[in-house]
Amino acid sequence: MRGSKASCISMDRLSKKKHSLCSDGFDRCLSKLPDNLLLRILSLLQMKDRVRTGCLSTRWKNLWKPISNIDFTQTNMHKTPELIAAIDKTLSYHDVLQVREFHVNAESDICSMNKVGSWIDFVVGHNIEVLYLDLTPHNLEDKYLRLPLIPARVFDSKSLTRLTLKFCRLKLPPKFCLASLKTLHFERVAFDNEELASLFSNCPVLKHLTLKNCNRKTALKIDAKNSQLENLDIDEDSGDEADGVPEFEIFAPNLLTLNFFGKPKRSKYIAMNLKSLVSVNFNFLYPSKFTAFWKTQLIIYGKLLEDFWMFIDDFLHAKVLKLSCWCTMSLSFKEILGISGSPSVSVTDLTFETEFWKCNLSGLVYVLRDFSKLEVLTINVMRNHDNKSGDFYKEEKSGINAYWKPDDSSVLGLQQHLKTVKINGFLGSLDTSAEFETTTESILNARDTEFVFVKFLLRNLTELETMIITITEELDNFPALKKLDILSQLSSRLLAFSKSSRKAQILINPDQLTDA
Amino acid sequence: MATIITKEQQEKEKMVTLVSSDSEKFVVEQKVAEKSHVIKMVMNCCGIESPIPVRRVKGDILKSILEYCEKHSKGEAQEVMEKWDKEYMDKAEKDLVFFHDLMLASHFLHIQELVDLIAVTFAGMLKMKSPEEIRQKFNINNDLTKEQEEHIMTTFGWAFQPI
Repeated sequence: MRGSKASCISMDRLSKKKHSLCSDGFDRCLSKLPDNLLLRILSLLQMKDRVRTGCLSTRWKNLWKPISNIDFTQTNMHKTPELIAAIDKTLSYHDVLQVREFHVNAESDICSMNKVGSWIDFVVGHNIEVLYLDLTPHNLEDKYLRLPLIPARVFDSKSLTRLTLKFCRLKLPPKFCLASLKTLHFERVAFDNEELASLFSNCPVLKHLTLKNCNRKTALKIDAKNSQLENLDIDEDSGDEADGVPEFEIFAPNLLTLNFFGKPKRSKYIAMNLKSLVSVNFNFLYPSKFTAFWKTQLIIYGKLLEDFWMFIDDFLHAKVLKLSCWCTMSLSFKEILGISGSPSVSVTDLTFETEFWKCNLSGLVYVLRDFSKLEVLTINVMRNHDNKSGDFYKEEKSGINAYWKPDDSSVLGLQQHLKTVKINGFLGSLDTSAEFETTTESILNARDTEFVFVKFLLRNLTELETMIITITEELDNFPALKKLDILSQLSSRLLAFSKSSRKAQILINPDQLTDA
Repeated sequence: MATIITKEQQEKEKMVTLVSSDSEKFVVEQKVAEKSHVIKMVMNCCGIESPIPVRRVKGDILKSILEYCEKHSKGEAQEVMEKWDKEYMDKAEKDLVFFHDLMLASHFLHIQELVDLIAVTFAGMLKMKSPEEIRQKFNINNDLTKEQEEHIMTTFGWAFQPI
């Protein structure tokens, strides 16, 4: 009973603050919400919508002004001078101690850098925490385009935790310290590699770095030996398709995760001392000029692939590894050429993508033979978009089929820890849209490689416990009856394969089954 | 005297009774009630044996809030939750008075996730609207003088261009 009394009192005391909640009447409108809640709502609005609330009523007149995140990236103002004036006005009306966030797109070919510099002065003076500065010019085609310099005042900030810079040149002051900077995103920023190293030394708590299309024509060397950098994303997708952009080099003893996106544009990839690395994601697309006729250019791409697997070899001490189609291809090439011997492999969790080109599956044999610590293997089936090359590889005469010889190769008993295999997007290697009239048998037969592959896994993995197969969502395009027919025929095919592990069970679309 | 429930039974079921301002009673699992930091604090210091009055929140609001808390105490997949949240918001925002009370109550009870969810929905209602449209929707009385209004419109002219 004593408990009830005490709780009653505490609620009573709270309830005296405001009783509008229980009073009825229809005049309860947005304006009746307390300031802190209204500010919470206003802070979610775009600048334009937010400023407009200033003329609703006296209550609202100054309400928006203390909001400390200023975002001018989505104002859709048509003329830059207009944007400049709007930002100037807004900043001058912001009579607050702190501007927590400032986001702006200023076209560097129209907008004066002095102006941008003065905004940065203002926000750095107001303890900015998040700064987003996009200086991408209006006219990207301009030949004489130069990257503007990053306003030097940025480097004076002690409070900045997240910095995004687009389209500019890095020039560091002789002495500085970004004491709070944790996350740094550079997009089309040019820098001397020594300057980047110096930046690392002066950002003591920097943990996350993204470099997107930086140093597009010069070498990209990341020397993070004096840094606690944990997470690095490299994304190089846009721009001219010229081959042979100078090398990529990385030296980062404290790095934990590394992600690659875009295309392998660099002539050479070098990795040194990545001793802390836990997870690597090689999400590389195919190089631009990689076409169906790669076979005729085998020498060119052979070299490229060879360089590439040597690069991948430097990452095999990580626990988690993800390989895109291009990287899977690189491993397959190694297998095809009969080159064996990797450094010690510690990978326990491997994901790889494949379109089920036969020549691209040989890498699997390599993986199952050399990656002896694997516990989980995930295979993502990718659509073979290049139909011509699909036909090309289907041709028995091309000799490509010789590369995937599941009946000749055996890795039986080499995988002692591999208990889980997940295959996502099964049957997804070919387009279904042309197959509405075809029979279930021919649909399944057209994807025979996928079945041969599963058969190979089941025959060779002695410790397998679960194989989870998720069927491609494209199957939903078929009428329900047809879909059921495909599913049942597919199941009976899969279940007929012999398994070397007694414990092994195959689950098909386990998520969807629970729904039904 | 309250009915005698042994401690073991309490522990096993872990149910708690909440009483709204209009004396409506709700019996919910403790983990559901815990979604509110305020109720959690009260339960921590006073136990769950006696009913806890939530005097500032009316029955219909409390019912709706507990519905939210119950769903969010199950730990379901993110996509499922997002879909559920959307439907929950669609239903709640139909009655603006109810919706305001819902926000005040969830703020009072310190259910931050729900406050955030409602704030996002509110912000959506203010998006791309002219001041007049907003005043009408929320019944706001414009007490600015003509001069004041004009001053704002000229100072921040860029925000008042046709949408």
